[in-house]
Amino acid sequence: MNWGMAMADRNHQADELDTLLAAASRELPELPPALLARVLEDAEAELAARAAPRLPMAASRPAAVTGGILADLLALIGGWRAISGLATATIAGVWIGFAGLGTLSVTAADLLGVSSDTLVTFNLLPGDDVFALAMGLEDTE
Amino acid sequence: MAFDASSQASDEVLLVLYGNGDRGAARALALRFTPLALRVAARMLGDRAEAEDVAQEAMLRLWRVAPEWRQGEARVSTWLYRVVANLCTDRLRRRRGVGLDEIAEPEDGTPGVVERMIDTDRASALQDALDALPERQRQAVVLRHLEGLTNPEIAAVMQIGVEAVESLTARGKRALAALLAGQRDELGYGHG
Repeated sequence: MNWGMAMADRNHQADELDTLLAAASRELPELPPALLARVLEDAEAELAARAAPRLPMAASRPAAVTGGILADLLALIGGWRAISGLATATIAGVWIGFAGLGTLSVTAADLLGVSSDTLVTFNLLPGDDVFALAMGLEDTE
Repeated sequence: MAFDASSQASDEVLLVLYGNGDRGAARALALRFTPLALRVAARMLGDRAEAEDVAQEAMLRLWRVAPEWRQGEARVSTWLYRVVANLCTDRLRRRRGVGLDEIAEPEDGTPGVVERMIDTDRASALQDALDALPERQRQAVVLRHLEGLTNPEIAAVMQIGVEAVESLTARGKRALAALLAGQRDELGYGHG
């Protein structure tokens, strides 16, 4: 066999190999149902395994949720300082409700270090504003 | 949402959906990728039962990586090809008990290899010839000529350069041709 024939034969073999490989590439083995079932079982098991570690956390979740809600509410209002301010205002409101405005004016006068007469005539607004009118009415009673 | 293997949803979308607990996406992925894994493993190992085990293991690794899958970093198919190739390499090394890189590449027309091809079926002969190739050559030939991957894609799977891929596929094809040369008559090519 001369060199030319050898080359031709080699090229022919290469073509045959390409044909064989092309045919093989079109052969797509069927997916065995049992294998598909195993693969899907694994997929399911993985989902379950990922969910499982969260279960103990879920058991202790109520306390965490309660703390979370309280924390959220506190944050929403403005924290513990805001809560103490609200509490003070509430107590003050209740006290005013029991003691009445007259007592309050006396107390306020005491706090401010002025006489109640001065307080009654103390007027931030000119003329016959509602506050002065109310105080005047109270004096007449 | 229902998916199947021909779903238009991208591989990555399906993987993310599965990562979020979507069982329909799992089925679509299984139908789409298990045949791929099985096909490559069967070509690499030449053993159907082992190939099924490898395909299942590769898919299991896909399920496990799903929650951490970072989109845009790699194609799912490329990732899976790599996993299958590595699993096959591990099995081949265990099977032979020595590093495959230490095995000398077969000389063209090695009589012992050709004589072992007792099956005259072309597919079986091809598989026998593939089995006789060094592992890296076989992997490159399978990915290039049977899976239809481009050289850059194969480079990504095998984590080597494109030039190395070209070299492996060229040497692999030459070795395959030589291995099959002695079978031409039996394969029905002798009179064409």
